[in-house]
Amino acid sequence: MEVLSKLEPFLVYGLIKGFLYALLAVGFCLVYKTTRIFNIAYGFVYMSAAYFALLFLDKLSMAVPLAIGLSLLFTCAVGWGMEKLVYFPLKVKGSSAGVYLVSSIGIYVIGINTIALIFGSRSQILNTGVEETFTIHTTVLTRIQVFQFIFSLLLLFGFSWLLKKFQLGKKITALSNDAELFKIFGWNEKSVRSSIFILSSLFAGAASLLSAFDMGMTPYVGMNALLIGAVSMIIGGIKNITGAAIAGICLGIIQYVVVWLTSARWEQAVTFGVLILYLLVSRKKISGKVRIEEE
Amino acid sequence: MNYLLSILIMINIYLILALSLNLFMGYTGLISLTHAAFFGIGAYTTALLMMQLKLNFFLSMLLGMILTFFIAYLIGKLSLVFKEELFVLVTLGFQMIVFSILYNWTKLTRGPYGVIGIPKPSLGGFEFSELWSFFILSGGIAAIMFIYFKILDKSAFCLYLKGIRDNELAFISSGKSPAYYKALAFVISGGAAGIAGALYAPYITYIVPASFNLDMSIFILCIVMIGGAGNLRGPLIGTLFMVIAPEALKFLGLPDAAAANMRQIIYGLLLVLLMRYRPQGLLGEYKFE
Repeated sequence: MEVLSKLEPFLVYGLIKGFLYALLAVGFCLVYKTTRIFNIAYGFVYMSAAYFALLFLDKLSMAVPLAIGLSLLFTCAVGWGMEKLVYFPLKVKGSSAGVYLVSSIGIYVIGINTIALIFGSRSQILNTGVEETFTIHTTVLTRIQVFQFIFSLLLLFGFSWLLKKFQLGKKITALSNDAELFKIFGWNEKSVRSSIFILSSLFAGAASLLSAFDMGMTPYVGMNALLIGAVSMIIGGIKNITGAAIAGICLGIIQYVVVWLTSARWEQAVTFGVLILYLLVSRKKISGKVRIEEE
Repeated sequence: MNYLLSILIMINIYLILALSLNLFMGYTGLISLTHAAFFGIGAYTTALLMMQLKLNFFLSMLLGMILTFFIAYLIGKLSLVFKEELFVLVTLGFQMIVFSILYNWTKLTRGPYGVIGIPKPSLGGFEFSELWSFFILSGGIAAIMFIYFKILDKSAFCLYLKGIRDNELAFISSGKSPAYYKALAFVISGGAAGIAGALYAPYITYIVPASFNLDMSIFILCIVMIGGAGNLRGPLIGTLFMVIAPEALKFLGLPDAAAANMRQIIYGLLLVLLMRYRPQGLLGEYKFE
């Protein structure tokens, strides 16, 4: 019992972190599922939200809600701009997955280094002052952790509602199921793709802000966010958004438990350890699936 | 003169890296991001063997290469099951894991502090401590590697690889296993990167994990993408460009940190523009499209 009460805070923190990871996973999976773009630049979109917030809050001293709103808006604009300037023209050319991938690495490198050039690469924080805390059973939660929990849940459920009830949601599902048929129906692929990139950026931006208010940021944590998103997507079953979200939550919990057992230095290795373990167990299944999709 | 020699030595080292990545990427059409890890394993193994066991440089290099072969075999076996972007993600994962190990296995690698004071190579009493002698050593090894890759380029092996790249189904129907040849290319490519690492460690004399991170993998990828893949001219011109161009930037007089960021931004821009307008790079044979 004593072990359990010691473990409890880690499970709760892991769960909260897992919700943030679920946001990342949904944003990443949404783009991959519909456009087949393995969007490495997602890491840059993630980072841009935190630094927009830093700009608006610290440099321009705006009110917090206004700064958050504007940062999310600008982040969506970044995602949309990527699609307009780079991905859609490539799509018109009929490029392969490899071309998208290398281009997205290029965008990531440009973006992250631009951020580092403007803001410096040192670690910076968004929140100031002492955080309020709440104690539930044996777990101490800060106010921002409670916000993380609430906003992630709202976004996740809001998105599943959008997919089910709205035309845009149905179009997104249609585009990911059969792009050819989608065009035959006479729908505008271009505008749906734009919405997809905007939505995906919204998820990345929300996760980024929620995490930056808690722990601050450096330009390079964007790569970590991308990896979490990508790994969760694969473990969740590649084209299954719900699966990706659940995998993200599990990943968060596993990371915290391993950190509890060993040390925080291995956090990143754990992510990939989980991926590789998963691949070892089910690699036949996955590669089979991929092949079917390719044919 | 020393400045010129140091650039030439870096060209030699990066040429080996570019050629090795090209063997895998240019001939199989798969993109790997584990290359910096192999580079690092070669560098660390050589440095540690030379310092802790007082082994000769050439023997250490050989052992470093064998270890890299072995690790490349394991990584290749696990990751080559996947295709396209999944393969890239898995190689990226291994890159991160190797980096984590170099960074966190402090007893062996001293973690972020790195290994310092790596001795210069020596052979029969002669020490390659002067820049010119190290240039001859690295140039000699780079030349051997170049010839080796040239022979490979003309061999049936590379023809098979091209066959798999261009039409895997047709290749399977000839009764050969694509997985075997891809794995072999991955292992050779990894081992060659290990050799580059073995040269890098005693040249710089100190190594830190940050020299072998994902940025380095992306840098090597840039060399091959910009120069072009699938033949030997591409990586050669890519290396010359990517090593010499940043030197030209130095004359702009930017502060160090800003200059590093500017360089990266330019590489990124080049990648995006090349993919859009010239997917085969400057002189490449294989077109990523």
